[in-house]
Amino acid sequence: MSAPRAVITGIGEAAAAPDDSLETMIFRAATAALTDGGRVRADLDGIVLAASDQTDGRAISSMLTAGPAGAYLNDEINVASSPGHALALGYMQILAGTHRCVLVSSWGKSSEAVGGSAPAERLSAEPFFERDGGLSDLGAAAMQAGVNRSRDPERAAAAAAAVVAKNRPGTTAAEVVASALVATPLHELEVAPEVDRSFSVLLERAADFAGAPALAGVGWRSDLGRVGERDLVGLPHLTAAAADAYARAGVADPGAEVGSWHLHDYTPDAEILAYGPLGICAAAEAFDHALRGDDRVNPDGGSLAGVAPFGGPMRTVIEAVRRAREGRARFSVAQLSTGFAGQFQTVAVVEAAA
Amino acid sequence: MSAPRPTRPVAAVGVGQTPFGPTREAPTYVELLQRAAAQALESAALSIDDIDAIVLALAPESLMGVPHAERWCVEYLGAAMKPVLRIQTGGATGLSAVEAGYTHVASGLYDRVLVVGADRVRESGDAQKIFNKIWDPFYERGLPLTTITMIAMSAVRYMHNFGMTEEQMARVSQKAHHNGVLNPNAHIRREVTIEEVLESRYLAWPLKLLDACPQSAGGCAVVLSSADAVDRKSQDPAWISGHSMAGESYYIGDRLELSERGYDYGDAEALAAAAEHAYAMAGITDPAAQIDAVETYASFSPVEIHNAEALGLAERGTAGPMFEEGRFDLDGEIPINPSGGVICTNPISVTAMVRFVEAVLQVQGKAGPHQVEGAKTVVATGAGGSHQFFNVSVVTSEEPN
Amino acid sequence: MSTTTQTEPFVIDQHWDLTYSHTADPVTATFLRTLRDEGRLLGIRCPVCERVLAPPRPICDRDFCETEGWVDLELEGTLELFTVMNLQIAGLPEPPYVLAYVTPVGADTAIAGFLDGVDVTSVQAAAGELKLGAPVSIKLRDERQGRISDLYFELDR
Repeated sequence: MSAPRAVITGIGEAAAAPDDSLETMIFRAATAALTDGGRVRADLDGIVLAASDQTDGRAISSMLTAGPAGAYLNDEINVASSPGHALALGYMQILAGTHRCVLVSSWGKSSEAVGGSAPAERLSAEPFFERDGGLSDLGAAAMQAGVNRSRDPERAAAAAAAVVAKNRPGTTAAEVVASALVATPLHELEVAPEVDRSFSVLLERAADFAGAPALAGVGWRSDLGRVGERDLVGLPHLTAAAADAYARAGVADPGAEVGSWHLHDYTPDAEILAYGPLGICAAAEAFDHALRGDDRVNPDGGSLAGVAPFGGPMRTVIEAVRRAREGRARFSVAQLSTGFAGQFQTVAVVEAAA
Repeated sequence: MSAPRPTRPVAAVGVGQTPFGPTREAPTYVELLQRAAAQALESAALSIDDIDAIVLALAPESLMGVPHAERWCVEYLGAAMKPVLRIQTGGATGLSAVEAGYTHVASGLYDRVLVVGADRVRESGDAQKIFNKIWDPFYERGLPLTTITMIAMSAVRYMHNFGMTEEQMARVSQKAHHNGVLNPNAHIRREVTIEEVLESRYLAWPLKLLDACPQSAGGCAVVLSSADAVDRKSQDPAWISGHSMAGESYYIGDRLELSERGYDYGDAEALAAAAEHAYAMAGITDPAAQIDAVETYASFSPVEIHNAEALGLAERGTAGPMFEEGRFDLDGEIPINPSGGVICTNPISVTAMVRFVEAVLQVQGKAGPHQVEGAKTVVATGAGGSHQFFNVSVVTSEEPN
Repeated sequence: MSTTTQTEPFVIDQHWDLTYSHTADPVTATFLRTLRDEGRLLGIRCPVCERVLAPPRPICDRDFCETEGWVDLELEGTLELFTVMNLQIAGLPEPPYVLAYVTPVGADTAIAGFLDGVDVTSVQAAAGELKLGAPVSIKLRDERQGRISDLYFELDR
């Protein structure tokens, strides 16, 4: 007996206008995805959100955001740990056969939080040992970059600058290294800036909708919380998440079979460190690969061009679906991460319709 | 909304709950998680290495004081390298987390899933201050909207519609406290008389102190398993035969006119919607006849009254006198909250999971002094948001076919 | 020498200082500005279900569509819900006082606000004075800030 297969029938995204509230921004992305999929809200039998209360400034954000995301009288669940996890749960709901039509939404409105998402993110540091030690999202990312580059400082810095120039249209490598140091070794242009965005992805069963790309496999794994105890460079949890996703999707040789990779490059080092675990190239060759430039990786610009706080990595899924719809390659891959230095990693494989 | 049947049956094969109590005396958040998880694993005769994925139940973290505490807890659950995700649906979180765990197994991707959570309510002072921040920032902050006042107003509406009395509410509280004495895990364990409830100070009319839940700390966990992975020699499975969730409009002011079902803000409309769907999955056509006991999320006494109606155990507007007559007592026809319920224990992140765990213990015959004899079909419910999200789980000793 | 030892818990105090700047959508903004500057109460209609929503919102969550069509509401309404607050919550007034929901004439949904003018010396007596369905005046404060607290309610006597 085969389980239902998940397909992505609609995608939507919305940037906030100056007079958009958080709720109207979410509504526009949700409506766009439904329209794109030829559905109306009444067709939904479930909503999955990735709502972060601290990012949104609401103590139970999903109370207010569920409605604009389509939840009225529906089954609604908030997977508040990561947009990748929300996608994973929606995927499992289709496979389980309990749902036929699910709208998965995530967002971030940086303009709502004074100081951006950093102050709230900082509070997720473990309260007894790490918070008072000054840990922050930026600090963790910087330490990761530091370890990464310590292996070959000059080449790594050049590789990082090259990735930024690739992912951030209109930026040159020289401008990157000339920008101010914000947290060594990271320069200002090496840190993804925050924007306001909402994303929605409509999932259905393959049996109900021919001709849509499949969400062929999703894998997700978690590392420890304490930054000091993790392998920030080897990223074994990303390797495992990718292995899960590839096995589920039937991808045997990622380097050969995947046409495009959409990664959450919160820093250029985050992208470079993902090459090995995702099978883009061998880990030992990652710097060279970055220096040569791979136009399959973040071909539509990366998070380095601007990413919404918390919910922003869902952009990688939207891009993967667009590429799959073009049908030039069989698979496109999205990688989402959340938490200090990517504690939670999710990999999603999208397969073009036959 | 469709009601397709899931492809794989799912059972709870182990449960754990720590003794609930005041936060200032409780272990740390991560220790509570560990203890609850350890108990559930032990009762399932499994180790953490046998667990394929983990679901964390964590409601507003402003209550226990560490945002995105799912990041912190990975190490303490032995969860490094495993798939871990976290669910947050306000008060309904504990049962939404069970539903998410159920989805993991029913999807076919995982055989054994640990669902776990904990809370330390009052870590950050009075929870009501935090519950004042859940409301619309443009139209409602700055007003005294909190969980207490939202329920008080629902009770006022129900009283206006059906003549419910404060005495009937007090009778619910008296029943709850009596049952709590029989539950070694309950936070509040003392008998109260109806007079004591009526004389306790008003919080927000008509709710009085003894009509209300405490602010509790503690942990809770469940091990879910696919049917194929159940070990009949060492495990005693309790089956999830039906499960559903429904949510109403957030806006209280929109829920005043009668709905299609004939409900208004005095009732629990979305609970009735969720129950219908869950009952359909479980083959329950006559709730009052087929359900042996109910563990329902009611943080205040009037909520149990309208919940009983939403769950199909009484016609709308009639449950108040039934509580007075003892129909829902521990030795009544359909015991409601034999554990003492939320009025005795409210560790918000897991309160709805505790309902599920108590339902499992009942059908396993392991509930101890508050066991409902012969219980084979027990319903557990959760509630969250502006009395807005409701989930329902039907737990049975028989495997669904 | 005492034979019982009780270790003092080791406590770390934390204070969260997070500031948020919530942007109002144009519908909400118009309502609050009009209330503040013109002393008028506005509702908005959903084109599908035709309910007049008060306070107005940009989206009808039932029909999942944008609302349109402003409606001037009367400063009179009906008492739908209330409670007499007896609990002190940080940042809110000293109890007792009354919180209420009132449906303005012309609207299909109710607005929340403080209800003044009821003798609250006894919580129970105050509750006894309040009957659902009673007519209520919607009053505007002389100095308004563009917040829902610019309005409050009083029973019509």
